[in-house]
Amino acid sequence: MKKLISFTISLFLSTSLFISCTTDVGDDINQLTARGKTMTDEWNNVTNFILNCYADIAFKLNHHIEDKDLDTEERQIMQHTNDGIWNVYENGELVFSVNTHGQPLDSIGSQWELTSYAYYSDFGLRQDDFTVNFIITCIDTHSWNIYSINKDIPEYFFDVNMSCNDTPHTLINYAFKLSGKGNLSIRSYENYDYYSQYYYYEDTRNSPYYPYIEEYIDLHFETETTLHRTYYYWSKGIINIIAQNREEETSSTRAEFNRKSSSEYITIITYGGITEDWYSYYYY
Amino acid sequence: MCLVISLLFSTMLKGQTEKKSRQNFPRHEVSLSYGDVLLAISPIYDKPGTSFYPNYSWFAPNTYHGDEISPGAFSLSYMYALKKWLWLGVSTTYTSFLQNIYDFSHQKVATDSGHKLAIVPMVRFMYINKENFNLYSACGIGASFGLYNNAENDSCSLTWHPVIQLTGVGASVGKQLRGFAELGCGPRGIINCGIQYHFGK
Repeated sequence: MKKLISFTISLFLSTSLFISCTTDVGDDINQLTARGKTMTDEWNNVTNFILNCYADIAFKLNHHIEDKDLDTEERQIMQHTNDGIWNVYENGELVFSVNTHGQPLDSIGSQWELTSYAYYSDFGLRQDDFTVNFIITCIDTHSWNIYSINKDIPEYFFDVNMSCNDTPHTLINYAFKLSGKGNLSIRSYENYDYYSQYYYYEDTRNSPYYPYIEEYIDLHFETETTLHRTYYYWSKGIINIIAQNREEETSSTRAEFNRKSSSEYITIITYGGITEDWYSYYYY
Repeated sequence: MCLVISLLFSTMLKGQTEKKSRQNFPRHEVSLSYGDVLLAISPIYDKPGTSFYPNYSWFAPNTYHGDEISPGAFSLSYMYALKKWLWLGVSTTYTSFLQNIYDFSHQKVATDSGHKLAIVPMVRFMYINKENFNLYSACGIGASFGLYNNAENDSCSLTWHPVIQLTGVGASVGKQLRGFAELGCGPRGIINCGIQYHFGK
């Protein structure tokens, strides 16, 4: 009897070694660079916001001054004060002040100074006087330098060169080339898609979704090659991004943008020594 | 495999002709069994991995989790017959879970482990209580205690939650030493089978 019981117990135990089952599926080893992808998309969102919210007003104003062709439904009212200074109002509030120095924005050498008083997301560029300041300089034919620095915290800055086929009326959903660098502070994910004029469909089946970031993170970026953008997303170019938190921990990624077809875009992400392709589809 | 073992015991013990009085039957039962973990709740915290969407863990170690595996649920129980059709007792079930962690060069760097112990007082209703064959149902409410050992962070955490064990149908064959199989849901598994030993009068 004792031998029988011992045999039975040992039989059960040995049987269990061969009947292990999977109770939960592990990580997808084909998408280990998801962190690099979210980092790249965060940079894209932040850069688009800065261009569409801040720099864009200069091009809209330039178009308004040059062509006097302002949509009456435009929610922002542009008012000339004196000596080339324009104020932009939104819902009765002064949101921008632009000093054009009396020169058109597309005149080589012209320099416009833009001051923002509104509480848009500033990514560390807002100074102690609660303003965000940009200097937009025409450096070449249809090429501009867009520069901003927080003079009180100079580690935060945005310094890029942008070139187009002509002088845009707006930067929103406009094709251009971009190169430069910057260091910005991000904290929470917001809807950075500022004032899109076109509806677009984004196939997010292969893209991560974004939760609330609960810590302050510095996002430093520098283009390795000139970035090309068509309408809404990057179609060519390489950028390097480094994220750093308050504990001095860092994480970096390299993103290479490619466009396979009119609707298919590939972002090649290198993160943690691994390189993977991420596909996105855009329909207009 | 478990059903084969149960049937093996029933054939081995077949032929015993000892006659028992209706009033005189073994009132104590100890059983050892093995079941699946299809309904088990692993204590290993399912945190977002490297490739999990969303992934804003930019500063976490560059590692990924493999599949979580479990060898199954082992149960040890004791039942006492108040009457021939009504049994009371307690069932304990132990389950373990393992999950390997790998770095980006696919080398294992750590193993997370989880252990669960469910203690469930049980009530069993015997529909058929023959000398060589029993048919029954059972139910019980108890608690399951879990221990999660996070090897990556070198930390431990304890959890617990209430559990219900429902045995829809169970059958045992044999004399004093019996094989049995049960179909139900709970920490003992959906399918659970093993051996019972009846003793005492």
